[in-house]
Amino acid sequence: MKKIEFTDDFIKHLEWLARIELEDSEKKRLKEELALLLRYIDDVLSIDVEGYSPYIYPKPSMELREDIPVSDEDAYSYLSRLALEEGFVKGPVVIKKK
Amino acid sequence: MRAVDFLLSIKRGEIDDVKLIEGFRERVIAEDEKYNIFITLAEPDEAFHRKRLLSGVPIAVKDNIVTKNLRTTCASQVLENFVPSYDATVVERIKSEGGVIVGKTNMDEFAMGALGTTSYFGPTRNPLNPSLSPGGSSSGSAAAISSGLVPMALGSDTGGSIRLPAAWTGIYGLKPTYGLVSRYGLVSYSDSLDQIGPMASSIFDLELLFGVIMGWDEKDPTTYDKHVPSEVFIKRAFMNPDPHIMRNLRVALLKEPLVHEDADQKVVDRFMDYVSELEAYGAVVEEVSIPLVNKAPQIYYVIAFSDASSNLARYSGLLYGKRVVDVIDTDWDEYYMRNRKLFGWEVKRRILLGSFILSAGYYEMYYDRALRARAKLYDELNKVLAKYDVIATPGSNIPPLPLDFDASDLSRLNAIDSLLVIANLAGLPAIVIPLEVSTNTPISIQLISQKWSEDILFEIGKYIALYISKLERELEA
Repeated sequence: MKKIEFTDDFIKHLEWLARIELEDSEKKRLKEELALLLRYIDDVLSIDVEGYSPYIYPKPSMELREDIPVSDEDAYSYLSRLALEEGFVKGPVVIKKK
Repeated sequence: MRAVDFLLSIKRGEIDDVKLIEGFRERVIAEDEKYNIFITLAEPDEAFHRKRLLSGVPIAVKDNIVTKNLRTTCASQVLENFVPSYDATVVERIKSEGGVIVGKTNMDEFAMGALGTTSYFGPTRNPLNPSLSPGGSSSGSAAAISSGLVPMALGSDTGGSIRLPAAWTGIYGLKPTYGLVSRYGLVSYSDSLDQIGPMASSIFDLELLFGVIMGWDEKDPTTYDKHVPSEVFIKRAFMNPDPHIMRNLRVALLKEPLVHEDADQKVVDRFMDYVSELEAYGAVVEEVSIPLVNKAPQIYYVIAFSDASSNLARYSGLLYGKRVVDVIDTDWDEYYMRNRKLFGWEVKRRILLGSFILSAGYYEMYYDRALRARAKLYDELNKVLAKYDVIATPGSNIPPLPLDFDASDLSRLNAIDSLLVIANLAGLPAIVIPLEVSTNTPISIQLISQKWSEDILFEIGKYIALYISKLERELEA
């Protein structure tokens, strides 16, 4: 893997991956702190893991409950916090008008 | 007053069960100004269930555990106005036993931080010394107990977030075995590391609260149904420990935190005085070395930050989180990126680094390798626990850091992280027990045991609290 250079393009790529827009001051700070953090986590690369499988969940055999609907008597009160219009819940606009 | 004493007095008809919450709000307002403990206060409700295990006991809840009709912010601007429509299982269990949820405590934003300083609502101060950090991320829960406002509280522990604040504020804290306490209703940071646990001013109260919240939950498929029954912990919370528990107790003293280059020698020396006392009471203490422990924080960073980048993807202003721009004003990508500007810096940098680690070409290099290293650490810790009853370390090998400590100084954080994150990475239970409390250098011990063996930790903890630190005697008096 080639050495990572903390260029403006690299930071822009990270913003895109994380879907977080950064201010200019934050970009500068990120360059400094990422260099430290990546050097730090590079220690993981020196651990001999030969013979070990990835360990994800301490208890891998998960059992799921029956999917039975339950009624919540207060449900209407939660909905009333949103904009209710003619029996519909008015959500945020998620498509752009042409 | 200890909750267990209060509850016994109610049972004997000596006091009324509304006594503890009387005047609570006034006391909180006075104390909160000094320490910045609560983000949201609940109106103490006298309509709690009577004659139950926790009837009338005021309990504080970390603000990343959801509470029905009570704002849950995760100390973030992103969730500043989020009011959940349901209770987390642990909260439901506390309420059904008559416990009174008095408020939501300050914390590091989304539980990301070791000092309690990344909250959108400002840092929490340490009641032992307000110029110092109380430790994070369960900073407010620890301060609520340490300042005497509540006898018990809930925290969450992903990489030491219950135990470090416990160590730095002179209280008790337990990170249970992964899967022994339901995470249903806990706002996720890193799923395979997160665990809710109890914090308290007395080891007996700690065991009682644990007994109430623990156990299998159909709403959390990672909980386990084969464990010591909760009734055992509840019964023992009102009993003294086995007087013979120290006799021939096999203790593995972990070398690495004691010789870490950033460990504080005074803290280590004082801790070792108490280790000698354990031996004097009959414990067999032997030093063990696991060099991989020094790299445990790096393994933790890779896994936790990657998980965070995935878990926090939901906060875009659409399903969750505050919305500062609408799609109608911009395009979908910009909408997403601009709404997420509301995260604080610590959260942003963890998401950014996590996203990078999970990106093409780096996943195998970092993430996959960290998961394998985690398996190796799990193996090495369990080999030690096959020979010894517990692994012992200081609760913290440095004194509490100042509130303005530069969190990019990874070396000092490595000293404390290395002894704390090992229990999370391996899913093991770990308890922090205060040994002495002072304004600048509280001393504590951390004990780690095999999975599902919290009962041993409580028995040893009670013995230490009664006969070695004697801190429990002060509470009894």
